[in-house]
Amino acid sequence: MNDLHRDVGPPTFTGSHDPACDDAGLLRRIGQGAEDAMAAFYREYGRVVFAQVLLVTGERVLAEEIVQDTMLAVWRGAGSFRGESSVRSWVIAIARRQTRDRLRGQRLRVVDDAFLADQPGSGPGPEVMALDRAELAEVRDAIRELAPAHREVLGLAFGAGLSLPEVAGVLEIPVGTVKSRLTAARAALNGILEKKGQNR
Amino acid sequence: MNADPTGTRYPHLDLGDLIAGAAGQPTGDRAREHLAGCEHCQREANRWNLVADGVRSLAAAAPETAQPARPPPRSGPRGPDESSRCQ
Repeated sequence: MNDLHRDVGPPTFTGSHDPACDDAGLLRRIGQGAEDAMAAFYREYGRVVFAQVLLVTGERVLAEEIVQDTMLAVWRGAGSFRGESSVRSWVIAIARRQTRDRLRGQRLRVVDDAFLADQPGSGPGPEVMALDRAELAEVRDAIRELAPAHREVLGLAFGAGLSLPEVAGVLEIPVGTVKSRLTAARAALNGILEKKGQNR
Repeated sequence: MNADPTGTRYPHLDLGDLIAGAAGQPTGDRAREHLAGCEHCQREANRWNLVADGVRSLAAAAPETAQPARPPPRSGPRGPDESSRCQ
C-alpha cells in the first residue's frame, strides 16, 4: 500500500545475510563483546531509533544523546534479550525508557500526558475533516505540534514500523488503548489543521 | 473487519485493518476486497495514509547521526566466541 514506508527504513546489511546471524545472533555477539556486531546493530537500528526519539523530543542534540545512551544500554544489556519480542521493539522500548528518564521533570512529558492523550478529540465529524483537504507538508508540520504522547504513538505505529501488539508492548498498555490513542492523535491532528485553515 | 454479536459482518473495516494498511502491514483478502468497494472506508484509509505519510516523511527528514563512540570496555567475555561468530 505505502512504498514510502520501505523507503525510509533503516539501512540493511550488505553482502550475505545468514538468518542465523540476524538480529538475535547479532545481540548474542554483542553480549560476547563483539564491537563489530555493535557497529552493525547501530547501522541497522540507529536511524529508526533516532527518528522516533527525535519525533518525541523535538530536540536533535537531546535525541542524539538518548540514542547514545540507548546503544550503550544495548552494549551492556544485550545478554538480557530473551527473544520474547522483536529486536526492533526491544531496542525502541529501551530508547523510550531512556527518553522518559531524560525528560522526567522537564516540560516535555511522555508518560504523564498519556491520560489526556487517550481522550477523544472534540473536532469536527468525519465528513468534514480538515485532513481531507490537507497537503502532506501541512500534516507534517501539524504532527510537530501534537502532544508528545500523540507523536510517540504515531511514530511507533507508522515510523518505527511496529505492529499494534508491538506498540502496546513498548507503551505497556493494551492494544485497545493503543487504538484509542491513535484515534485521539488523529483527532488532535485534525483539530490543528482545522485551526490553521481558519487562520488562513 | 468488525463483527456484530450475531456473527454477521459489520459493513466497514475496523481500526486495526485501517492502521495496518496505513503502516504497510499485510491485511486480509476480505479487508482488501471490502476497501476496493467501500467509499467510506476508502476515505478513512486515505486519512490514515496521510497521517502515516506525514510521520514517515518526518522520519525520512531526520538528519543522520554520527556513529557512537567505541563502546567502553566491560567485564565478562573478552571477545566473541569464534564458534558463534557470523561471517
